[in-house]
Amino acid sequence: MPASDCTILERMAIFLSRELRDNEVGAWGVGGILPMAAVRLAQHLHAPGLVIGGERIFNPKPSRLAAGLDDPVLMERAEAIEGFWELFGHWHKGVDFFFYSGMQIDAYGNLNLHVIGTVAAPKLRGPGVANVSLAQSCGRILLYATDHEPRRFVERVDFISVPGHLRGPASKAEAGIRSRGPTLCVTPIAVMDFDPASLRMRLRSVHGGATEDEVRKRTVFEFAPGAPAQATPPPTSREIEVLRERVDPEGLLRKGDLPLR
Amino acid sequence: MRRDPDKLATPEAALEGIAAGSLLAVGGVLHDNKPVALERALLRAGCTNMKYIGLSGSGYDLDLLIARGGVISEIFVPVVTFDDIGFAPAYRWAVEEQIITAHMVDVATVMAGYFAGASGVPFHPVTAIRGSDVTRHNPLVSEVTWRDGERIPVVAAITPDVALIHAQEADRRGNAMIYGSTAEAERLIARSARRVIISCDRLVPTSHFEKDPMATTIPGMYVNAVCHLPFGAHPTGSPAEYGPDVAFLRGYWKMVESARRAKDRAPIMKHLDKFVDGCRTHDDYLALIGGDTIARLCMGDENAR
Repeated sequence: MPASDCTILERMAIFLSRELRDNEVGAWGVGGILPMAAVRLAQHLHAPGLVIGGERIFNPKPSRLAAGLDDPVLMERAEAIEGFWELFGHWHKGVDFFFYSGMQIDAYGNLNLHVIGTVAAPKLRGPGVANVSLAQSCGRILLYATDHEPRRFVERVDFISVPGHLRGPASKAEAGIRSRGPTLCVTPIAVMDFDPASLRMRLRSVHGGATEDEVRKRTVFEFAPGAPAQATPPPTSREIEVLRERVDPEGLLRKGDLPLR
Repeated sequence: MRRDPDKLATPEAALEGIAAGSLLAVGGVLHDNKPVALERALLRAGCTNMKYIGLSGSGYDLDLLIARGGVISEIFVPVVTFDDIGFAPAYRWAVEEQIITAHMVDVATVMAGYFAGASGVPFHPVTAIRGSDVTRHNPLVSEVTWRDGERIPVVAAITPDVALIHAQEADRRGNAMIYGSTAEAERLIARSARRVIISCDRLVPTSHFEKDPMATTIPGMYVNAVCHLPFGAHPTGSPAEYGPDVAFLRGYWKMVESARRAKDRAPIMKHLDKFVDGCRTHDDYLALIGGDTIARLCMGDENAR
């Protein structure tokens, strides 16, 4: 199966799945079809011991992707279902990873899901976010966005809904944030990571069909300098096959644009 | 938090490397659902100077740990008793001889500490404990100043180094089912502790939990080791499985109480030799207790109470 046959969402799910490791425990916000696909794909391919946990439902084995946040497939063959309190209490040991996205994502991985403009005079009032604390109580944050546009990738978010690295190591320390925070951001055209010293986003790789120049043009801020961006290794036929046959047999990731969760 | 998904272990492996002075949390109340088989293994492992924190009350299990000498140095348990049998003999002996420190605590502060520990916050407020001398002596309680200057008692988060919890059912992934009044509290302990060891009467397949995941008491992600120890709560009871062995508890109490009065530890050492050190494995212990006794306890031995 040629990689060029993949939809954008399928590609992103595959690229995100490669970032997950065996025997980790982690979760995504309810309704996140892309993280769900990434986690299930990783379980089928290289991380059989990876466990879904930290968002009430412990170790389900869904046989397809969830169509919405009330889809019972999210609980299919779960081994335990915790209460609402466990969902929002910050467990001191934390989970290993959590996925987040945002209306705005800035150069330091801070996320805005609340207000474009100012709180007093919003140009756009977003949905908000249920859990701002997982950014600090889990091992690492995996960011994703279903488009890569200048209005999303800004130098500084208008409102910090979920803190990433704030303005770098000093401001993070001053705020008392000791977690590792965002380590990666996957978009339809590129993979970004963070410079270990400055904690500023840098370009790691560019997907097939896009150019480095295009990524820079569609990002408002300057990336931190780093090694020359590589080409993202394209999806393998095995990744595509397992994704379509075992993770997403209904083809939800092939149905075109989905709303951002 | 990466772990081997298969958490089935022997008690010896599960308890390996517990440092002297560790804070040990123990599930169960009085003579129900105490992880006594794990506690006997703890005695064999030779841990020293541990601090013991429980739920509302402890009896035989704590008394036995104290009776060994040198294992427990501090205790944070609201009530220590053998209930209608009498006061806990080794406990009162060691406290009255000032060999161990039994802190004054109440259940609201212990549960608040677990709640903070399980929530990942530094403390939890507890307001209805003012005026008691327990509160004045309770080392778990501090105070913070609230908005209008009012002083509010708070309890610092309890994050035990090790938790020992008995469950009726568990699987290899660490999922556990506890039938009994303490299940909610044991769920909190499992979230609070750094290392969680479960003993279970019955090892069940994971599909058992998949049938009704809402009912699972402790999700496997909080658990480090599962030890399959049938009748592992003996001589305390295991809710819905077997009752406490009251004859055994009475026998132990009489023996230690006489030893305390005579100030002669020899009979206690004999008991430890026989039931703890003389049993290399849990199977050895069960053989010693005998199938008839176990059958009687499973059938509900009301006469012995």
